[in-house]
Amino acid sequence: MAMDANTGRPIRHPRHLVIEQLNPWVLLTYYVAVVGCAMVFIHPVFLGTMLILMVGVNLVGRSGHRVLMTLEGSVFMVAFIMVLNPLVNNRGAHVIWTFGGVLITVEAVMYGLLMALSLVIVLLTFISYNQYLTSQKFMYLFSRFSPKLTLLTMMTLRFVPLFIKRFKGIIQAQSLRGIEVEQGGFRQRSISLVKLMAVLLEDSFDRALQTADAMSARGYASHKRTSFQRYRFTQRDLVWLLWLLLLSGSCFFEASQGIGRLVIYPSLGQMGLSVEGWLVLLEVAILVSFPMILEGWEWGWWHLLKHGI
Amino acid sequence: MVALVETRHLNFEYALSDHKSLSDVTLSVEAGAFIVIAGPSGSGKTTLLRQLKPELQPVGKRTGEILFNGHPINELGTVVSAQSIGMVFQSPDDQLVMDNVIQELAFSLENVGMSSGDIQRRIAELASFLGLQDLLYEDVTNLSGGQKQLVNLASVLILRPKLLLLDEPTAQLDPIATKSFMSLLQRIHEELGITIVMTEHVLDDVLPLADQLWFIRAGEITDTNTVSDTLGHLWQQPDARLFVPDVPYVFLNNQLTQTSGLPLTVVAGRRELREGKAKFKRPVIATAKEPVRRNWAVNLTHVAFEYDRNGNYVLDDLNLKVPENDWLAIIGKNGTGKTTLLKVMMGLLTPRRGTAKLLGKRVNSWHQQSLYQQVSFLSQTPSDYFSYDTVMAEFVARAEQLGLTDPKQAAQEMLTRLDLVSLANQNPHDASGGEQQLIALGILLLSAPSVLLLDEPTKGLDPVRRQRLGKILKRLQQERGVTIVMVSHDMAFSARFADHCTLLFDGQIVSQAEPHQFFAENFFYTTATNRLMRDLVPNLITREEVAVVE
Repeated sequence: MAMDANTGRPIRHPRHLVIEQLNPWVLLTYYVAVVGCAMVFIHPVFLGTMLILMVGVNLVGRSGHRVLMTLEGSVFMVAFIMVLNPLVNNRGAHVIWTFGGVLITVEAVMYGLLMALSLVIVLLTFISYNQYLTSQKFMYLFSRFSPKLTLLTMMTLRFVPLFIKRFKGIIQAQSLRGIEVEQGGFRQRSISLVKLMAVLLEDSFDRALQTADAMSARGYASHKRTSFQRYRFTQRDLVWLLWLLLLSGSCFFEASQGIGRLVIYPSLGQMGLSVEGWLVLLEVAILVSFPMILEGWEWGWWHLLKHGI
Repeated sequence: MVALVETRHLNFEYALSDHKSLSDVTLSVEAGAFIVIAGPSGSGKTTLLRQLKPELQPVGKRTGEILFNGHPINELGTVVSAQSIGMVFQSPDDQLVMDNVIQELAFSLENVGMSSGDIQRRIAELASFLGLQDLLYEDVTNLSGGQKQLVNLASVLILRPKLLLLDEPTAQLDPIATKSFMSLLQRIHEELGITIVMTEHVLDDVLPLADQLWFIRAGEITDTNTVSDTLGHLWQQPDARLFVPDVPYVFLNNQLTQTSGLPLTVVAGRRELREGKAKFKRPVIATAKEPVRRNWAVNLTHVAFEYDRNGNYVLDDLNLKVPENDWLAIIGKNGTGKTTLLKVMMGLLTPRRGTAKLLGKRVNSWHQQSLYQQVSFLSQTPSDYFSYDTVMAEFVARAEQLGLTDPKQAAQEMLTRLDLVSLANQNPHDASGGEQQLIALGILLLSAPSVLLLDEPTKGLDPVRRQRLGKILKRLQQERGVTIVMVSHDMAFSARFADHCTLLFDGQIVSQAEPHQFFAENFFYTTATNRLMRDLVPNLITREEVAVVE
């Protein structure tokens, strides 16, 4: 079991969600599809449904706290868009109010509202994206295009926290011998800081040389590198990928036919949905709730079907 | 027997150097051998090891021959060389390249152009052999030092080397991690038949596994014999004697009879002692009279510390008093919070509860720089303390900063006192680990502190430098009245030099006693000498104390 470097006590691992076990390509497809839907289906019923589902997806991932913070942070932005759009945009047939030559139309207010909603959904999607599509998985996605660059990025990413830790150690040690960066005049502090940076660079250079030795000892640059794929692409991944592609493909096709898109300009259209509209809404809902469906199935397998031991 | 590696009249001189780092080295390593190379730091151990790995040969002038399997080693192809000769270095951290263990293992194989399927198979096989399954997806930064070194070894083994070179692989590890690393090496050697050549200067754990012990001194190989022959020869030379581990030391020092060769382990030693029937003197334990009222240099009361909110208490209601002019050794396994304790003492970390007093004054009511002049803290990375280009400049700068009347004079005195005169004009970063320790100590000592806090001062030091450091510190304590609080897992060093020892466990100080009493009461956590002798004389703790009754 791994130990925490600071405390020397075991680190507990959280349980894995089903979606975390899927291949990064499936994850990427899902997020692209959701963001696409949020930008294409400009309709209050669609966006409202997606908003609720996206909150649900984040709650399943236990990032409720972050959702709250994002919603809190976006209140101002939503208000801004809703106020600004009617002010600068006076297209539309239904005028609510005029003052000083500015027309406030129902269309512009509605458009602002929908834009804001769509933006919030995209933000929520990114919370989930950051949680599941970690930098390692992202790197895996792009290692196909440039293995060398990927290795470099990976080493750099790993290096940054080490660098910071080393710098803290050096600041502490130097202060013990009388070189302070937090005391004295500006000139004195700048001189100390430059000294410390020099110490850090020298130390890092020393270590980098050792790493380089260890790398060449293990045959780095002795042959054209291959790339070990740590995320396998299983049959299950293939099934889900096809499912997501099919579903999102059909959604985008319907959208291109104008279904699920509220006609706003020049004159606000009918809010109500046709039968086809409801069907597309269902499709979008199923698409967006993908992580919840996976989790629900997992829950059902263990609790309802009594496969548990 | 077939020699796997041979060198003939090998000479090597570093570029820009004025002396030979290796001179006329002729040796041969048989396939399947386990060879330990010992010698003082800077004697050319690492240089020699690097000659045997073409990718790592240092730049300089080389004459003579190096053969691998009968062919010149530099004619091996890069891929062949990478695969058939593996090398593990000292620092557990700096060898890691990737972010998690499985990628680290794959890295070696990716380098030699293996396909994903083959990589998968090799990882599966090796992980099962080494028992790495549970660590495979672990982030490398979460591993302990011992685990990191295990991963470093694994990522070399995965290339299936014929020859494994190890450069002081356990110098940075604690005793428990060292032992498990050694038993792994034994398995690799015995079960896989891999030839091992290893440099090391703490020989207690490794000699029972080795076939041969070689000794190198100033670039010359002086011994290439079996372990007991080399030890016997080292014993003849006063300056190499310190390298002999505790158990054989006791036997050689007292000229005890050996029925079946020089014993290397505690169990073999005890068997010999039972058969030899020698009688031993009881140690004279100097118990200083405790003055009625003493001043406390360090006084911690009810100290608790956690690293984060709702975290685990690393220190938990800890009480510790250290009288002035005492030398206290705090012993304990890695990760028990020893370093944390020192940092709390020094005010570098703020305790969650409780108070820390230094020299009778609360740590947080001291003016910071005057505290740092009175109390010095030496961390495990002495190089963090350096900021100038030469050792002399370091000392002079600190002396000037302290406003000493004659900085040059003070620096010169410090160089003499710590025996560093020969390094005066060198860059402190180029000095060896042991010397860096002394240089950092010198910087701190310029302010004439009355308390010295040391974090693992003997880590990575060879026996000669270890003893020198001990003597310097002892002199400071006796002549200048310095109080020393040291955190260490070096039990032999603590037994020999400290006045009191204590054990830190589960956030608390478990016992605090005079070393003889402390180690005699311990059963597992004690010196090798004590484990060897405890049936005969229970409170013998250092090898120098063992003496036969005439």
